[in-house]
Amino acid sequence: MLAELFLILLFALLGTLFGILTGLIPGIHTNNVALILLSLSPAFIAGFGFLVAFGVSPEFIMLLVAVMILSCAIADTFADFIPAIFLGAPDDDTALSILPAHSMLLDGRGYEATVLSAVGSFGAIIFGFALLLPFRFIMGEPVSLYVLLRNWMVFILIGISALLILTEHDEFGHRSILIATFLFLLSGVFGFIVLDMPMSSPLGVAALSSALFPALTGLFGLPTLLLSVSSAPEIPEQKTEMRKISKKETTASILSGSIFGSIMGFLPGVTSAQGTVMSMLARRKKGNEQVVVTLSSVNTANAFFVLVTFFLIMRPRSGAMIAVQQLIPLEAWDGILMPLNLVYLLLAVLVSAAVSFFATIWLGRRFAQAFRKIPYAKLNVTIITFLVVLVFAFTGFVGLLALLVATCIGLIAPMYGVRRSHCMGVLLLPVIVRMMGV
Amino acid sequence: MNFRGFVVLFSVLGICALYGISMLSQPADVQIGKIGGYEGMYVKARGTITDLQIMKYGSASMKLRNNTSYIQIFVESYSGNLSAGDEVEVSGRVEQYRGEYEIAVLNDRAVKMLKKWDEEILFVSQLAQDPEKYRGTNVKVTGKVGEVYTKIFYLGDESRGYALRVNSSSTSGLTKGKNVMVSGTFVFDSENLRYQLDIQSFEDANYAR
Repeated sequence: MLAELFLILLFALLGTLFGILTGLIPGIHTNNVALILLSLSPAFIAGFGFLVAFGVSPEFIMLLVAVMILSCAIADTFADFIPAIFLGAPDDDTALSILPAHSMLLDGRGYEATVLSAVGSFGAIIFGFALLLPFRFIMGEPVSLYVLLRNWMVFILIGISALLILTEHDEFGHRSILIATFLFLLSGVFGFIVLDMPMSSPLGVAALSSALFPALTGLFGLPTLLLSVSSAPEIPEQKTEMRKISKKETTASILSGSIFGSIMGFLPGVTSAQGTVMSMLARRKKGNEQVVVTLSSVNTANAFFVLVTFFLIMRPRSGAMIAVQQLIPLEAWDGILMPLNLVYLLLAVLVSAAVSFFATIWLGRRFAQAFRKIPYAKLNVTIITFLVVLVFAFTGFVGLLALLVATCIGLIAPMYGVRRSHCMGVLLLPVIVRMMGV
Repeated sequence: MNFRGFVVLFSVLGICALYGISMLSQPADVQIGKIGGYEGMYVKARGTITDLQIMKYGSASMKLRNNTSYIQIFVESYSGNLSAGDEVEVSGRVEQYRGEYEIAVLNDRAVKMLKKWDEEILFVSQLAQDPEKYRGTNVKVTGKVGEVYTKIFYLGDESRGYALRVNSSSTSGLTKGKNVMVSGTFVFDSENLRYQLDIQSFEDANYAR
């Protein structure tokens, strides 16, 4: 038993290390990382085959690979906030809409944003463990909220979309609402066409040739970086001390993020992006600091609860869970006691979250200290090039065209001063239409 | 035109271009046996439903058969409008589930009914000639009643001499030689190595004089 725990710990640390590294690379989604790890899993299993000689069963080796993938996914949700904060900031004077983390960076508070995001992510894990049993009985039997929510799913999604659009406001009256509606529909039509298009990877990596990668990179990643390059912002010296923030507000942000992250982890066709939007609407006008905490907690809570969901309804809701289900036998969590595999995986989550928390803060400080020495525009150009090459490698020429169109759509939001979350129509509209059976 | 206008124009033109490409490249119909090449894509496949199972939390799992090929279908939100034996067109995304390919669909509205199983009336001889085609599906069979027991009777085909064993909760009202029409599930009894018809309930069975 002790040897098994030691191996779980070791593989959780390995996965965490990998997750931190992939999190630091901008534009690489956790799901892609999980699928890369899954494609490498036969090599891992073969590589760790020597453990059989020490009495470790082949099934347990598969579980260890699953532990590594899950730890990687959790660590990725912590570390991916670092490039999100430090890269792609636009010029404060010219940008019509600016992300809260970038706003903090332009105030010299990039490190503070990193710490807040780590607090939000780790807080989501703590709340995740605290909400584990209530979640089990509310979402599963006897309350079966999952079934109730699913029956109303199409109305919930329409409600979310309407809420997103109608909460746009500006001094010109309804202009923003009209632009937001146009952007939502345009993204939706784009999603309808592109998400079902067959993409082929020139490298032959079929598992990664999903249209989601160029679509989301174009809608949310590249526009920020392009605007940053074109506006050449002056990034001030970054401070490494923290301002005092309200514990009550922070707890409320984590709780709201965790609750929405958990619900989004359960529903089909819904990602943490929609959870973020809903949570942001619930926590609006709370300042940049609280928005950063909320964003991080939604992401990490989503990664945590897709694991629990997996053992409740036996369906994967993320790339990491698709990878895990290929490796370990499934046993439903029907009673009060959890299946043993879930206990092992939760242990890995805890280890990964704790290590990632300190690693993110440490890396955030190093980034903040070294930041002024890095040529910001050149760095952004390098990342843009890297993302374009990656999109081509995974999805070919059709993926490149999808990336180009998505980038144009993604530029509409900052150029017309509306929230870029309307671009989530790319996922929402196709799901709504298909749920309505049109 | 300023840059903002260009961005909007190019977005619309780009979507039109992508639509054109999707029309050329998207598989309209996919052969069940070749589904593996479409992983992650949204496809349409046609076939007959077999082995329909309602799962926990209102999902359903079934197999779709076309000739000798099978594919697993997972319906996320199932409202109970389908039956084994229905000929359908399924629209969904190809995924891998525990190492096997399956088509995952959001709900049973993504399953288009082509022919309901009870629209076709079969003779016993048709079942006998290709039993695997109907295995695990609901069928409506007409024939002449043979030997009658308490909970079993045989449905025959006079010209060819076939006799299909039919399991029923009651056989009252049935007499040898009567022409009847029976609805039920055509299954294979692996213990006795024979095909048989299970009437789901006596009331559901449709006896026609």
